[in-house]
Amino acid sequence: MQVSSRGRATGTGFISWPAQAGRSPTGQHLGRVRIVRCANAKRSLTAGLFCAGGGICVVTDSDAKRVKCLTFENTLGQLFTANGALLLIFIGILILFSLTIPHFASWSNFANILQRNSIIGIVACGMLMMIILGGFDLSVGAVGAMSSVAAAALIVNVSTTLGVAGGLALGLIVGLFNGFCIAKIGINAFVATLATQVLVTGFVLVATSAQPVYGVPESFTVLGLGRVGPIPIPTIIFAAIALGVWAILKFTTFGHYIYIVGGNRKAARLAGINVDAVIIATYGVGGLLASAAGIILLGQTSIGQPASATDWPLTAIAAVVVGGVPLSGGVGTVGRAVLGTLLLGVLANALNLTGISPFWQPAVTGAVILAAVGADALRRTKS
Amino acid sequence: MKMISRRNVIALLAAAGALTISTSAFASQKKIGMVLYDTSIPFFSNVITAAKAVADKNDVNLDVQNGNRDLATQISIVQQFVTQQVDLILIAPGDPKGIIPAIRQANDANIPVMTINTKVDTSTGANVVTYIGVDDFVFGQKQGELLVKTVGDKANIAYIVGQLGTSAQLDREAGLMDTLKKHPGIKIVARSAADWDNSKALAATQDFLSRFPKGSLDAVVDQGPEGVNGAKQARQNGRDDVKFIMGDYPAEVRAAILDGTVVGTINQDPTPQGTTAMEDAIKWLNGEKSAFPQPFHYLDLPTVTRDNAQSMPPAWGG
Repeated sequence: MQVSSRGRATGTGFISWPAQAGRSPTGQHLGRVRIVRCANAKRSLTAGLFCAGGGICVVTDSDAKRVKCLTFENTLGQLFTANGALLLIFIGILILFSLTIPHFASWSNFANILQRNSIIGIVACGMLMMIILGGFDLSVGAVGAMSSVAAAALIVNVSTTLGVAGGLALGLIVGLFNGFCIAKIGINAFVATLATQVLVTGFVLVATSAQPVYGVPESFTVLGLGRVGPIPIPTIIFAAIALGVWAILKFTTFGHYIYIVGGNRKAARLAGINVDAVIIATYGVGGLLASAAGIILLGQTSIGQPASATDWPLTAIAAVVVGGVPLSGGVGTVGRAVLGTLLLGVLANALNLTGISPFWQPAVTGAVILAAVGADALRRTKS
Repeated sequence: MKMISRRNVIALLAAAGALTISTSAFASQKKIGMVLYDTSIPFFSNVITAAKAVADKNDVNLDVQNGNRDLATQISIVQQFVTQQVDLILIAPGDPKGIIPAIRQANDANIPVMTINTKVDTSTGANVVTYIGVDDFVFGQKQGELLVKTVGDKANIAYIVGQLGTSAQLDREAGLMDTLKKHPGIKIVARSAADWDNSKALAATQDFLSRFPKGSLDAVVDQGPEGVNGAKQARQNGRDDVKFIMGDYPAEVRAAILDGTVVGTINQDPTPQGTTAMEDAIKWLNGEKSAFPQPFHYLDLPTVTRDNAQSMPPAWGG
């Protein structure tokens, strides 16, 4: 049961899914259980076997009739402790940089920032889902490079459509394989995805002899460098993907299962959730998004490069974590992943524009990551 | 349990004996061990392709190992070659000083060592037959000369460098600075590290163009070929006030030089490095010990511009 002491009961509106038979890990029947979510995500339930982020709880069927939704008092203080805090910091930084750094506050500069951070943002959206699930994926860089190389080879030799589809399919397969190793074989996420990363990199090097794949038509660079009006095309794709992930996490049963499995795998099993299927599917989506990012990278450079994207895994994890999503799983929203990505992107841009020495730039970035995550950790221990 | 392990030991000994016999039976075929800084980058995979072709033609056994961008790995591979008693070791090290103890071990075992692409520091007594490759310092100087020819004596320059601390980054920069010393009117107003990465070089170029509005920046010099996409974007956005000079000569740089997006580059071609290194090694093993330049066998480092790009095929890709 997870009830905030600062909460105040104000209503009973919640969404409930059909009851299903719950079993314990040893196969005993626990009676019927339901997964419920408050209609307003800011609320949490008064009773439940177990609750995860977003006010999603598992309750027994009999409890489901009497649970209530609680809501926090909406004070200025709360604005600083919830999602709003990061947004305020981000807007503050934007205003500060706009006032102090010449050439920062122009649309062409903002468009550049959006365009170049969209790729890592797409990777971060997938990473977010895997982090909510209580894991992460170190193979996203290798998958991105593989998809970009495979798509390039298929585009040159067969057709653009098949290239894009083939690249995406490969990413999905590697992602599902990651999920399979973690869920069915029981390998720890760190080890499983590290192994896949090395494996995939090896396959790509064997297939290409480390040579880039050339010959992708110039027109394909529209995907990476083009614009619709003032808005970069990669950013439109990023926005669509972020919206899609938001909708999955907020409205679908699959999304709610991710929170519950990430919050407490055992409780999820008790609630009758097919935990293994959720894990495999989530890593599948993660792999799919990494390969989408790889194809956009191909659109940016028009060369399928086997040795590219090596820094994606840690950058994407950093973006999600800077956004305030803990690695422990069970909580997190897509808005935080997007804000974390943009925050790191704006910072890198500002460092370039101010002409700070490249020797200092990694140190400044590291300090900002520590400060952001540290502030979040302090807030968590105090509340 | 004891029985089995003893039996295993005997089997191992027998296998080792058989191995010794079989190696001595093929003693006529020379074996060359080659360790390269990082075999997964296109530059070195071209060195390998060229070296293998020469090895096959001369019936030499060439064992290529990946240095993994890691000094400790490179040292342990050299030690492994010493243990295997190869006939000659070719090294492209990541660091000119750190590899020295390993080279000394090879010297002690009387195995000749040659270095490719990156020079080592022999001032502390390590013995190297010759160095095959180009001089990254000269590379930087030539980039500087091309820059002066392009922008004249007074200009503002932005500089994209490779991964900080790599010998190519340090030496190419030192060479460029050496040329620019004679032209104090050319100022480097911005500097960015792109780690030899396309996306990072594009970002660096975009930020240079935002920071220096039209008319305030004359040229962008990139130590590697990665800045080509930045150059293309600059041209699409009407920034033809900025000239671009790249380093290295892959297919995409050649195309950009031919269509005028890039002014020129310096061609450090990996293929002759692989070919020449193997040819020198084979000459040494055949006893023709003075048949090639020592201690430095410098290869050509041509400047490529629109004038000669048409007749010069790209160093890789294409």
